[in-house]
Amino acid sequence: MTRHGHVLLPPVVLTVQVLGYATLRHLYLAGFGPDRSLPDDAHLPTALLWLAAFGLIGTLTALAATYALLRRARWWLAAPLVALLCVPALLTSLASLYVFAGCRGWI
Amino acid sequence: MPRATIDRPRTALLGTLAILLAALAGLAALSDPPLLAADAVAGRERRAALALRDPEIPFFTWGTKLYTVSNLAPSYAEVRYFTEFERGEHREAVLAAAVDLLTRYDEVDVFLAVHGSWYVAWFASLPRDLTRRLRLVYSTGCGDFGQADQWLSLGADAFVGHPGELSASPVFYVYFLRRWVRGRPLAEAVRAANEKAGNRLRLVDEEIARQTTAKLAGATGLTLGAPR
Repeated sequence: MTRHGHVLLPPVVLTVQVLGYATLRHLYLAGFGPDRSLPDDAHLPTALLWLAAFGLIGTLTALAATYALLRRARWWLAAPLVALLCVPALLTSLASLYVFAGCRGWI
Repeated sequence: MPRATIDRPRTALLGTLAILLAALAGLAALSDPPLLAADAVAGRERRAALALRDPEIPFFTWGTKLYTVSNLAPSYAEVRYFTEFERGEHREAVLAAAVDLLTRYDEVDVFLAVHGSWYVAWFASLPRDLTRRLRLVYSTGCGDFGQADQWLSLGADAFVGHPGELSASPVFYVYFLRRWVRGRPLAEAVRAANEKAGNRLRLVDEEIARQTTAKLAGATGLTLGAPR
């Protein structure tokens, strides 16, 4: 992974982000959409779980991909991938963790 | 002449750390810096909260419940939360919950995440010896500050609402609720939330920022932890 991280990790970052948004959409539609299948008691725990999981996995993959790109990729590949993929992914994931911490009353 | 070499692992590590720090700083600047809890938990056993979300798109409905319940729960002995999918559908349940809470707790705070609301009329149908236990009422409804006198005459100690008819109240609410449940005095919580929300909204539209400004009627010195 270390040697080929700059090739393998950016698609992983993208996949985590896409899956994160897909599960979020599924979550809020299951709770509050037309077909409400999620019980009331599950709204909060599932939301907090999503925030923590997406935040943590998204942050770690974005940081790992950034490091791998900066370390091994050519600059013309690293610059756009870091700026257009890794940094936005890092921001959304950290925002998720920030909201989680706020909702837990930690900050 | 020897070529200067770059220590790629070290440069990559420093670059990654710099990006992480910049992201954290940007996030704190764009959102709300961490707040320390004050004496918010004092007297938790004597107060309850009732909150209601009126019809909105599923994502907003999800976010409102997540934010409201998770912020209220640590600071109130009991929280009742209602989500309407059609306006007014939970009238009887909301009033039954209000009577129950007002009977069992000395102080009941009401949070209305609603568009221009008629809910004051619901509460007006309750006995005055119960509604006098209402303490803080907050409504996100556009123009709902016009109901301040009605809420105060029901017995609420304070009302916070938005006079503007084009108010982006949820932005204010995010900043306000965090401060209120952490024990900030009501007037200070309203002032800080107005300032924060105004700063953000002015980046989008000056007029919306102006109309979002919330006003406070009643007991300006109210705090969550202090007895009435």
